[in-house]
Amino acid sequence: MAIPRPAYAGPHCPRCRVPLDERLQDGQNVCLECLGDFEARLFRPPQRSARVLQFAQSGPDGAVSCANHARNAAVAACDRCGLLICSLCQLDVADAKLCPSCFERLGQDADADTTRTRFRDYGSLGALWAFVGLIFSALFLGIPLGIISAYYCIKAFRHRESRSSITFVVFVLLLALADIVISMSVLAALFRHK
Amino acid sequence: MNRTRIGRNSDFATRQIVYRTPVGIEVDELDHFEVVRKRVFYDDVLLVTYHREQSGFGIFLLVVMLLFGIVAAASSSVPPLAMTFAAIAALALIGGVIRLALRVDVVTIFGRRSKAVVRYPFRKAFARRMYEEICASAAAAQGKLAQEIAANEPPPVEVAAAVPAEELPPMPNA
Repeated sequence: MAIPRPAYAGPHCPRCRVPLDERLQDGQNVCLECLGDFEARLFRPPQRSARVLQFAQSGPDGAVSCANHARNAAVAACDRCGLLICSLCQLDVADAKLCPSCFERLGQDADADTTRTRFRDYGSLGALWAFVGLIFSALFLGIPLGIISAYYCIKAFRHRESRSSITFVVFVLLLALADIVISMSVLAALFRHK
Repeated sequence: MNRTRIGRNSDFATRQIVYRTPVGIEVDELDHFEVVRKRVFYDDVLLVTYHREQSGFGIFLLVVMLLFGIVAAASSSVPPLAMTFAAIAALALIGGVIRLALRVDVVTIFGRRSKAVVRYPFRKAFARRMYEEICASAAAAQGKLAQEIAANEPPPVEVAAAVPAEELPPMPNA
């Protein structure tokens, strides 16, 4: 498990992590806390403003208020739970309109590809088992561990979001096959000897 | 999505690989056999910094050199062992001196919700180029977004004139 770190709270000095003040400018800067210098380029990203239709403005016919904001008119229904939501609550994810709580749930369950942030690194898992299999190949463990490693390599090929490169996975797959071949040749030599 | 590896950010507790994509910077944090991914989008970038700092790994290598040097001196009665430890100490000294002399170039990208750090112990020109290119990409993305917002901005709506104070109904007596 990774060591927990303090939550990100906006730009800070890249050396001492003290929050930066308004005196920051483009070009060379000096942190007043640590006196360390750094080059900076400031940006002012434009904000998208959501146009929210007020319940009072929307007219008497067919106006329904948002489930989360009573003063806002609902503009859509959540595709997952059917909750009526305003444009402030509406989240467009993977061709679906979701309410914030359903979006949160999808993120936790990792159901939608766009909300996934954790991935299994199958290439490294395959490499681990292939290496252990190579060490114990003389004890015939190369066969089961090689098969496990090959299984993870195939998963790494299929799940391309995995970190490992194709070249690395191909190398690990060859190592897994080598495990199996070595173990089988040791077994064959043993039977021949008997 | 098409992405290019631009560097790493590793210390004694963190292993991160940093990629560049057409829409932003992607950071893959390695947590044993899991990868935790986060992104800093170009249209969310608030600040990009570039600085050069002392290498922690260089100091670590010098400490290793010192330890192996002491062990080599202590085991001088057994020459093969002393030679082995001295060789390790010499390698650590060379590595440590190189790392301390070169220092580490650090590019930090601060977004609204997340940040990305890339460290370059050796490729200084590449680090400078990455800094310039990330700044240019962020400026281009934010310029494009500003144009999009301006294009989608609704025409100014005529606000109904406020009711003059005289026409307001009198306040009810308390």
